[in-house]
Formats: sequence, C-alpha cells, structure tokens
Amino acid sequence: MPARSDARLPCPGVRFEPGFARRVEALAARLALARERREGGGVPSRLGGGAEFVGYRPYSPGDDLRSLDWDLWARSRRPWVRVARREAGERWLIVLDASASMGVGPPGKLQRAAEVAAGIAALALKTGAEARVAAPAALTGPREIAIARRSSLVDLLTFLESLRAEGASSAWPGRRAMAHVSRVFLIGDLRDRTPEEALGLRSPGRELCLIQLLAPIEIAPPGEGAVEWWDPERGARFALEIDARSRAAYEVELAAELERWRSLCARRGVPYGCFSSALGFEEILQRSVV
Amino acid sequence: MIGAAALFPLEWARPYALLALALPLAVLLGSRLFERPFEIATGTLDLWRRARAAQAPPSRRARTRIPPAVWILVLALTLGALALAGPRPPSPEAWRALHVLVDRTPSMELALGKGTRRDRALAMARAWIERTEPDASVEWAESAAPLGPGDDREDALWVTDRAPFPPPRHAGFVASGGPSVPGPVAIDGTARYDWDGERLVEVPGGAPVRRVEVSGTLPAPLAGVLDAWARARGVEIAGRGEGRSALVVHAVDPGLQSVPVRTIEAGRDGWTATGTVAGVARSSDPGGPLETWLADLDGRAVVTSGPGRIDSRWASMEDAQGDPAAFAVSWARLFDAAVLPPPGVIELAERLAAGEEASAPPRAAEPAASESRSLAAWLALASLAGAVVALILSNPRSRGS
Repeated sequence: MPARSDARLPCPGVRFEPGFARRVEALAARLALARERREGGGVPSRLGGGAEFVGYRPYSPGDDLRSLDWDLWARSRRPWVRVARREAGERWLIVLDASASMGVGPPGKLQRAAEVAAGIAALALKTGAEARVAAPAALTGPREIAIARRSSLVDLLTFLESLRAEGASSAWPGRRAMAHVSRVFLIGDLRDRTPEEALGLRSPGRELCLIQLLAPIEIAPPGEGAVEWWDPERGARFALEIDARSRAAYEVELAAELERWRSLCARRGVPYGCFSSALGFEEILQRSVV
Repeated sequence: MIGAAALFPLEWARPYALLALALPLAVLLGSRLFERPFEIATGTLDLWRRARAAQAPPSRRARTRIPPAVWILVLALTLGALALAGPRPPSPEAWRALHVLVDRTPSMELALGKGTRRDRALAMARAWIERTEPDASVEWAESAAPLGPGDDREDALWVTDRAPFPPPRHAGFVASGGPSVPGPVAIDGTARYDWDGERLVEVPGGAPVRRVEVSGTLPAPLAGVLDAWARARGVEIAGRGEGRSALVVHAVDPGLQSVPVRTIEAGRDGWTATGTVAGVARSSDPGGPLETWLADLDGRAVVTSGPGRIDSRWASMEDAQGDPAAFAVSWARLFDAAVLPPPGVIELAERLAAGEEASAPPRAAEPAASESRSLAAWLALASLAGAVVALILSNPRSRGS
C-alpha cells in the first residue's frame, strides 16, 4: 500500500523557537559540567568512560566489561572499573530518524528529536568533540551535516529545520560512515528496528546511546470510541473500537516491547531511554547523557 | 392502552413545529449511515494489531456505536424542536366550561357605534374565546344585577361595559367602554329629568305613562296603598293583557278554592297585620329569582318580589296594627323597588362614560401561560447547552489527536 502524504500528519516539520540556539548552548554547558563532575567523582556518565584515566569505581551491572581492571579485581577480590574523562578529538555521530512516523504528535516526535540532536551536538562542541548529524531517511535536501565549531550550530539548526517527517525508514549509516566514530546517538521512535539491530551499531571503541521518543497518544491512547489508526510510513490502516480492554491490552504490548529494549540495552551496557515527546528536550538530555 | 395524553400530558402552542423532530432523526440516521471512525496517525500500529489479536473481536454493535457527541446533538435538536412547538400544561378541566356572565344593567343598552355597548362587549368576548379557548364549552348567563364578588370565579368571564375597579381577583372580563350618552335619567310623577351631558334638565309632563297590572284580588288595605302609590307616581293600574307593565302584582285569585287558606300574623317596618294567606309565595318565576319580602312566623314566604313583579299570598287582611303611615310607606317602598323604570330612562351613573375598551383573562389562565413560556425557555436553554457540549465533544482536540 502506498505511503500517505505527510500533509495529514499532525506534526511533520521542525521549527525552532527564537532563542533556541542560546538555550541549547546554555544547556550544553551545564551538561558538560555535570558530566565532568560525575566522572571526576568516580561516577560514570551515561555515555560511559572516555580515554583519560581518572580513577576506579566499583563495578555495577551494565558496565562495559572492557573497562574492568582485572588486576585490581584479582587483588581486591572485588570488580572495579576504570573511570576516564573524555578527550578532545572524539567523533560523535547523531543519527536522527526522520521517517514519516516521526510526524506523529502533538508534540511532534521529529520536533523533539531535532531539539535533542541539537543539544547533543552542542554538547559535543562543548567537550571538543567533532559531531555529525545524519538523517538517513530524509527524502529531500542534505542527509548529513558536520559540526566542528560553534558557528556550525546555526547551520545545524537550519539543517534540522529543513527536515520533514516523510517516507519509510532507511538503512542506517554504513560501515564507512561509522569509521572513526567513537559515539553513536540513535534518536527516533525505534519502531522500525529491533533492539538487536540497533545494538549492532555498537562495536569495540564505539559507544552507543539510544533515545526513543514516542508521542503521548502512543504512550497513553485516547478515550473510548471508534478509531482508525493509520501508519504514516506504510499507509496501513486498522479500525478499532477503543475501550478499556483494548487500551489495557495495548499498554501491555507497549510495556513488553519497551522492557525488551531496556533489558537488552542494560545487558549490553548501552544507555537507553524512552521518553514522551511531551517532555522538554532539556529534561530528555539531562536523563540521557549526564 | 394508556393514552398518549396521559404519558405526555402537554399541549402545544405550535404543533406544526413538531415536524422539526425529523431533524434529529435525520442526524441520527445519517450518523449511522456515514459513521467513520476517528482517524489517528500512529507509529505503533503493529502494537494495536497485536493487542487486538489477544482479544475477542469486537461486536458489530460496538463497531457502529454512535459517538456521544452525536447523541447529545440529537438530544439538543429534539429539545429545540419541542421548545419551538411551545409546550404548555393542559388547561384544567374546569376551565373547559367557561362561564360567560353578561351584564344586563341598563348601561349595556346605551348606544356605542352602530350598536350598543352590549353588542360590542359580546363581540369582544366571542373574539377572545375564539382566540384563546376555541375548544372550551361556553355557558352563557345574564345578570341583571351589577357583576360583583359573588360572580368572581376562575372559570368566569365578565362581559360588561365598564372595566371593573378593583378588577376581579379570579374572573376575567371584557369591557366595551364607551362615551357618555346623554338622555333621560329619572322621572318624578309626570316630570322627566334629562341629562344633557353637563346638567339635568326637567321636562314637565315628559314622563312616560307606566302601568301596573294586578292579577287576582288584593286585600282592601293593600289595594288602597297601591292606589295611593300609583297616583303619587303617575302610574296607571290596568287589567291583565293591556300592554307592557312596569309592575305586575300577582295576588290571590278568590275563585280558586283548591288552595288551602291559613290564618297568619305577619309584619315588618313597624306594622303587623293578621289575615289569611293562600299557599306560599313563589321563590322564583320565569323572570328569575324572587326575594322574600314578608314571611309568617313559621318562615313561610307571604310576599316575594323581583324586578317588575310582586307575588302576594294575602287572601284577606285586617287593618294593620300600629302606625298606618308606616304600613303605607313600607309597601310603597316595595312597589318603588319592584317597578321597572320606563324604557329609555337610565340612571345618570349609568350614562356616564365607561372609559376605553379593556380586557383581562381569567386568572386561572395566566399561570398556564407563564408555565408555558417558562417550559419553552428551559427547553431552549437545555437545547443550547446540549449543542455546545456536542460541539466540544466533537472537537478532535478533545479526543486527544
């Protein structure tokens, strides 16, 4: 079935409010400081360790086994992991899902994802990393932009504002695009991938962070009544009489899926968070990357 | 079978407006025919499918359920149609029999336009009945006496010329009004007194001759008083059937021996007389009720009177005891009260202007009209509120998309 036009999508585009760039930069400064404090205090940030060794801390489930100090474990009979602060010169890749399903809302998932992506890019600049923002699903315009200095932030916002939620999900960046990338941020509703596929982006020397965004209507369905759901990517339709039973069954299915993502990511030590697009991007970033 | 009227005890001011009930019906049918589920984009359609697969399929009834907003709209339209039709409580049963009391006092016969005040007042009454209570059964009655508190009933409509003041508490009225009408207002012996609109003018010898008819034979004392009174008033005493009489005195016919005669003693106004009476005086006749003027010690009527007539049962009477003048004055007052005025002679108070036309419905009708307006207003208000609620519920934002 052909995909529907995004004209019927509630929130197909991205529009930043005036002053958004300043808000993002201020947030990035706060996040960078918070991360430094946590790492300096021996508490790992959700993004894991960096390269500059700063000390040890007790192992906790989900930690990367590569950071285990085996010698210290043998001596102390207790697992310890090395804590390091990140170094300048890292390469971050921020992958933004701009497929049609991201136009669901309000608030639009693509809008919130773009704001989060801008925040992560600003954080990269603040920490001296080099960042690239890619939107592989974009049907028109550039699909990627590199951020290397502060002035690039304006170009990034322009790039993000050019995105529209349209089309089906495309393949993720290939091996070449991933070369020399030390951190990958995957931002989207993650509805077209399995956790295993997403976790495949992680490799030795490359950290992965998953930020899943769902619209409020996807988290808490509307009240009772006849509804025809339609999938903006595939055009599929599904008529349903929503009542308490069907709503409860949906919530069970959603909870099971989110738990699967959470448990698999936790097992692999991959930061993962599922957020409502109704949540502000500052809070999402606080809970994702600090 | 229970009647619809018992289930829905209302009457309608504009029953044709009930046709508007077809509108909510059409909305209801249309919503069932063209019902489309609310469309919402989602990225979790597969989850809904899985959730549905875990459940029993919904019933067809659930699939075609009409949204609450449509129900509320249908209800609002129904209430609006009912309000448009003007519901009102049914008229009380007593109201169905409307008593129309027509004032027959002399002023009603005064000229007004091409007819009389009575003609005009009757036309107003008929128009009112036709307009407001076309289905009511109407009982017409006439009142020679001025209408007063004794006639003040919720189911009564007074037909008169002068708007009553104070107005009746319960009865309605229609008053013809009318300008003053100069003319004869009194007679005294042979003189007539006319009112020219400003003052009274004596017309010597202008009094029309009135006649008193005596049927039967009055006892001598009474016949003497009647003769004296007739001379003083310029009235002729005539036999039966000699034209229109201003007063008819029914006396005992001595030829009738079948009626038992009894001896009594009776009196009033300072005199007492003994004699024989035949039977009991009538309390009413075709001309209307008669009031007892004199009764014996047992309370049986001996003399009764009404406008234009007197019924006396005295068969014989001895000379009255006491002051003879009191006896004469007492009977003369009875004759004065009973004798009819000559045609065309109407009291000055009656000839005065009766004001403008006026009318007021019976008080029993007013609360019904008020309730009718109140009920229609409440229905209209409920209809409006329902429409607003339906509008709010039909807003997509209120459904969370």
